[in-house]
Amino acid sequence: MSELKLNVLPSPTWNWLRMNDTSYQAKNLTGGAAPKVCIPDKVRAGEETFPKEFDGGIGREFTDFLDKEEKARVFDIDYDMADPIRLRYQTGKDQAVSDRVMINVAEGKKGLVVMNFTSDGSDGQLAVQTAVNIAKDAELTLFSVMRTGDGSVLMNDIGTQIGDGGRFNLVQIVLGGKDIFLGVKNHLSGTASEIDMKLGYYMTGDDNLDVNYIASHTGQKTKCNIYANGILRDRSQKTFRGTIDFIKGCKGAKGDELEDVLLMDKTVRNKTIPVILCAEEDVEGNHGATIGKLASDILFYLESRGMDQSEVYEMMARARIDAIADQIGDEETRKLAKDYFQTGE
Amino acid sequence: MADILQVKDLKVKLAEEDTEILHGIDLNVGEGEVHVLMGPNGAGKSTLGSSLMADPRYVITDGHIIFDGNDITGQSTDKIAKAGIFMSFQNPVEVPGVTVANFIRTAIENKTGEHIKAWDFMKDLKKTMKVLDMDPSYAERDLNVGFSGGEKKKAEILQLLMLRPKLAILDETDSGLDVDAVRTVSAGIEEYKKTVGGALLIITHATRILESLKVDKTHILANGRIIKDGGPEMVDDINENGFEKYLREGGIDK
Repeated sequence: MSELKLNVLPSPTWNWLRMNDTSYQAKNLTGGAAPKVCIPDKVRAGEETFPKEFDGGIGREFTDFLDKEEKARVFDIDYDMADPIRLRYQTGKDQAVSDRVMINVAEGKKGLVVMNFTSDGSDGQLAVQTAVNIAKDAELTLFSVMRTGDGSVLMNDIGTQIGDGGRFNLVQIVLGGKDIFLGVKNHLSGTASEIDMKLGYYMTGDDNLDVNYIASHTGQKTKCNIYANGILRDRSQKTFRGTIDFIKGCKGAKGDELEDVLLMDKTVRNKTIPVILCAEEDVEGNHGATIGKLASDILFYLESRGMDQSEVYEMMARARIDAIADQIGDEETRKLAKDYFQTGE
Repeated sequence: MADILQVKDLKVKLAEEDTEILHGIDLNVGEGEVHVLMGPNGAGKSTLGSSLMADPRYVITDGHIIFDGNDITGQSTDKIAKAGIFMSFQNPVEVPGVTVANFIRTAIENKTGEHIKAWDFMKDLKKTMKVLDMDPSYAERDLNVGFSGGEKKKAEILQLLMLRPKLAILDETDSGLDVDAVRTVSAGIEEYKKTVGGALLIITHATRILESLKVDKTHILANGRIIKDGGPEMVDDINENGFEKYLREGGIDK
């Protein structure tokens, strides 16, 4: 086992809040993951050494932990994609596997990638690190649905470099999981580069979700939008760290982050820390969080149509996930998220 | 004709304070009948409607509610709705994230316990929306979010028509509506009578909504008591002369 500090806040807050990072005993890696990969013909796929300078959202210790796996699968995108690159990961029993991915989008092109994660229901551990490089005026959209069950551990780390006028769109949906760590760090270095990140989650039982989203603005007129909408029920836990970092020189930058959490049981644990770091005066940053239960008048109204309390909460949970899932422009993946509420799988 | 609803000596107080609002209501509604509950502001009309639906803001301290032969006093709101009572709210709440179509479909599936095919449901929904002169795009809008007063009331009647209850309580459904909207809502209520044949308890202090309906009985509620029961002619009398005469007869100072 290796003890790792995961999802490290860029600027520490009070220690007693216990939100600066999460210490985790990770199983030592047993090998490389073998995702099912589906690549459109025009994408150039290969293998390269993973960049040493990679800076993702989960943090340095996680990157060092994965360094035994030097090789990364590389996808070079040099056209406007209609059909996505698909990577399907599945964790298996007693496995502690990892994978590294590099996605490069050429100048002015639009890339589309889908990364989905499931498990066989056992106690496997999967660690994936993705380095994204978006050239000038290019755009990458990444959709991801994580349904890893209540036994598996997933560490999903992303780091982006975005050039002038570039854009990164991310939609992540988490539907349960024993321990899920999501980290995304965006380097908005190009002038007028933008990111839009949306997270939807539905955690039940003893699920645990730990998130660290970072937008590091160095370029002028850069923009970020971070939105998380989720539901916690039973004894599930969630920690959400969302940092907008305005670094000196990023004049005219704008950042918004908003989190909306529905707490369905008294036994859930919810921690949220929205952070705006500001070393530049000419910027605009907003953050907000809505955390709570359903208002009693809404509950009464819905019950008056014949739904009991648990059916009402189920419907509201489904509505929240659907709202995020509707942002997924890939029918197969959208269905994967929406079907969860029909089949529970 | 058998009574679908029997309210026997119902006493109701506020949940959060010791103030009794309804002081022993007796009311019988026959199957398929149209009853009108009128009265001045603050009489307790909406409290009665809400109490029949087990609104948690109120507590029943005495009396019984018998619906379709079963004592439903103290039952939860969802069970009362599943048994077949529907209330159209005076101020329907906004439900962000849940579309009109999804909401109604989920409500029907929960009520019947049966899965409805999406195609059949949407066909039925759009046909019903047409009766209410509603743009089909409203099916995909979040329930009541950003709706005008008239649109909210139409959405309530849309639910009434789709859920097909045995008894509908309409709480001030005509309040705040212009003449055209009242006409449309009235058409929806007529459609309910025609296609479902259920009973109606219409709470109102106006009478425009009653113009196209055949009223069976009228009740006047004041100070938490029913002070007069009568026939449909009472609606016209109140329309012309107000409540004063009835309040005086009931020994209530204006």
